[in-house]
Amino acid sequence: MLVPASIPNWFQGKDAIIDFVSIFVLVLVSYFSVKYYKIKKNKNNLSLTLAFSLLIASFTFKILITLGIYYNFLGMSHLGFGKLTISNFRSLDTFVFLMYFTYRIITLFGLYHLYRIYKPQSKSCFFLASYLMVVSTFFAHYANFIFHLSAFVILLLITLHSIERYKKKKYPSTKLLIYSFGLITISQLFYTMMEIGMVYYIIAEFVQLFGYVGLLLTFIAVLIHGGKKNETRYHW
Amino acid sequence: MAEKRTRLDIIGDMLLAVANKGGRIKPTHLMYKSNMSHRQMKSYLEELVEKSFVKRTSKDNCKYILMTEKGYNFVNKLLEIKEFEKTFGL
Repeated sequence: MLVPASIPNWFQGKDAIIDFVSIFVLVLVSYFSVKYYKIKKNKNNLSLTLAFSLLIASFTFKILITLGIYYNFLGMSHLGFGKLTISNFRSLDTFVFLMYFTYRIITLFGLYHLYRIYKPQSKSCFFLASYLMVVSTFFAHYANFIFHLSAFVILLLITLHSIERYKKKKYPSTKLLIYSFGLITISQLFYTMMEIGMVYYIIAEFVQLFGYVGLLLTFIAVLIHGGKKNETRYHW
Repeated sequence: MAEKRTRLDIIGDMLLAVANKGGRIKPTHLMYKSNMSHRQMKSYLEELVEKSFVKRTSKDNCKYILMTEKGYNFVNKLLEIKEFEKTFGL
């Protein structure tokens, strides 16, 4: 089993900072989405907020786990991030197990909820997807990469849908959004490889950081272009 | 087929029509520009005046509708929301 020592000293704690940045971006977009909902009553704005709120919660759990490992809360220091498996679960508090489980399931539900905004699902599809997400979260305790692979698949579908939308409408900000979602999707691919070496974990964190910075830039572009007059005329 | 306009869409169309005419428009022009019947426009206009987004004025025996600062701010907010929804596909 890999231990935290595999992560170079210079990077320890930096991952928590990267996750804080991601949380900041998600909170910012969610805040404006709720604000817009209050004006326009578009339910999709609320759905986006719900999806992002779930991701905020999942990042919070991830930060708690990461800090727990680095600062040895509840005797977690012998674990590497994402390394909790059924075999070493016996020696740990149930609380830690629940933290991992909650982090993983909330992430998947958050991403799936985001996907549902673009591709509305029937109730039966929702139950089937929920079941599969619970199963993959459970098996992630045996092999962590299953969780990241599931996240990768959902993110890939979201990115592909954004590409489809961009091809139809050609909104420049959507292009930026595609890059952001694309980077976040690729980061999941690197997370799946962290069993091979913790260097992939570091790469994944940085790719994720770029992805969320991209999301921030997308949102800034929305604010800039949104209120801008086009050739001295106002357009929808 | 185009989707039915919501109440906010209609208000947005009216305010955009005024803004595109430099903040001052004749009521008849507003009616044509925002694709509304006279009765519809009367009711929506009342609401816009009530909310201080526009005000009525007259010059040389002609009636005009003037956009207020609050109206401009609201148009900008609506454009921002539209851009947000277009970008995120909401």
